[in-house]
Amino acid sequence: MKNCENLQGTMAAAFYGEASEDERAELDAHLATCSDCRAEYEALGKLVRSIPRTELPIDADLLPELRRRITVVPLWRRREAYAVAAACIAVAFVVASLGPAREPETVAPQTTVKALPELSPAQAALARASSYESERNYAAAYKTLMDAEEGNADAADMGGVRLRMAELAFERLQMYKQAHKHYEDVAVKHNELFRNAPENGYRLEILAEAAAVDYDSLYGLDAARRYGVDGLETYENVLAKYPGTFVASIAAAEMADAVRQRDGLGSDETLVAMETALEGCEHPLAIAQLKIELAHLYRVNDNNVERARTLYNEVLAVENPVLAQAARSSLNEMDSGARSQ
Amino acid sequence: MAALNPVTDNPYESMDRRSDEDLALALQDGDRAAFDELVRRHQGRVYAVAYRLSGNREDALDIAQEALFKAYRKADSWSPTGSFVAWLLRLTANLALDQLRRQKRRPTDRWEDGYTGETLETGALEGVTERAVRGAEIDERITAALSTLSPSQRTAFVMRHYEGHALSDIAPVLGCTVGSVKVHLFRALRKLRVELRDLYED
Repeated sequence: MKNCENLQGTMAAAFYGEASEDERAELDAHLATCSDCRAEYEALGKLVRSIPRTELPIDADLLPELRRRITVVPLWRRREAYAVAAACIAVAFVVASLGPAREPETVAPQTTVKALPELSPAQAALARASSYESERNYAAAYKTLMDAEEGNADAADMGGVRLRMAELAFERLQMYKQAHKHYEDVAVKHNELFRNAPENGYRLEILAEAAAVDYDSLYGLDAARRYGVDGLETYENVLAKYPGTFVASIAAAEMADAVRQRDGLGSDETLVAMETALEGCEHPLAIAQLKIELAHLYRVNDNNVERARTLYNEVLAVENPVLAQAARSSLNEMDSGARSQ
Repeated sequence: MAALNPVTDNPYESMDRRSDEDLALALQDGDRAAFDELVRRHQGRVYAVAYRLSGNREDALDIAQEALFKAYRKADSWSPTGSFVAWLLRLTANLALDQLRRQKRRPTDRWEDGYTGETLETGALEGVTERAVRGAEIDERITAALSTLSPSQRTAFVMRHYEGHALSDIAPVLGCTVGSVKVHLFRALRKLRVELRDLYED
């Protein structure tokens, strides 16, 4: 009967309790008269009840890989950047909401085939790169974008391409020198795009600083991440080798994360985790770096100025000019009553 | 129909007593630790959705990764009036669906790589009960059956049957009306019935 097809959707909805009373009544009335539908209804209903909702446990931990892609920026470094980002996001929302509304489809018969709108080289490259990325072929994605950029360097819409190259180089390919160049390009040539995400600013800052040591600090951080909870010493090495840097700050935060994971601490127990990490360190510079991070956290997050002050003073005793400077300026800030940073 | 309970079904034991929504609010404030906790709690479920939609482990891990990364980046687009996990899983389904639609290969080709249709070797399964073996076989059959569905059918079925999303929440993921979701769901059930006939029908 003709009605059978119209009621298929209702049948499916009914199996999952989403048919209204009226719909149910209509369905029941039809099932009473149509044996084919009744048979199908019973069979499919049984199927729905039979297919088990078994657990599919994940046998990998996604956090380490996510860490590489999400720059762990200590909260105390983050404040200023968020104000800028908030302003940018507001602008981005306005722009996005000005997009064209959906046109209702007309039913006029078509005698000619509509030509697809032509994609610009940048758009085409981004689409192809996306396709490569879904096959995990990040090198090919990067090359595709690079070719497009080389051929059309002055195109107005190259910003997206450059940003994607920066992201691929940083997150997936660990090509930090190239990533540095790309982020710089975006910052200079496509500034609104750059400021759209605070992440971009952090990364550029990290890369600029790491350039001085040929990006070794970042490669050291990558090595530490590979070990994760099993290699807290590798994080400690990074702290000891590059004291006072952004990378060291990140390493300290990730070290605390690793301790948190190892010891089963809650996500609101960063201070405890970092204190534990500190206890496990031997290298004086690593210890000093962790103390600075802890001091910042105590001051900014916990309002525990006494502990912060003690820690800063302990760092002053370690003879490292960079860390001593950081400690001194923080103490000055506290003394002059200035809050944060 | 209630969705799976993420707390009781999750093997990860957490010291953090905050609700998902509290953690999500903290994440919106820039709290990276809150994100870590959310990942530990829900990566399993994100993976499960990704796996049921993609049909294989590697793609599922990738999609799960992308989904969580995107959730971090776009945390501000979650509205505190709704469930965070539901938002996260819709995001996951979206990504999986994008990939399904992009892939030129037919879904069944992918599955044929791994699925032999043979029972597991008893030698390798000493101590494993027959019931567990049977369960694993059924899971494999269902995953294989899912891969014969179209992307829209598969997404509609996985989101409703396994995750309990309302049809009105599935519609925006598929980019269609609620009525169309119902039709996709019906066609999915019809196809699954054919594929799994020997398992579930007398």
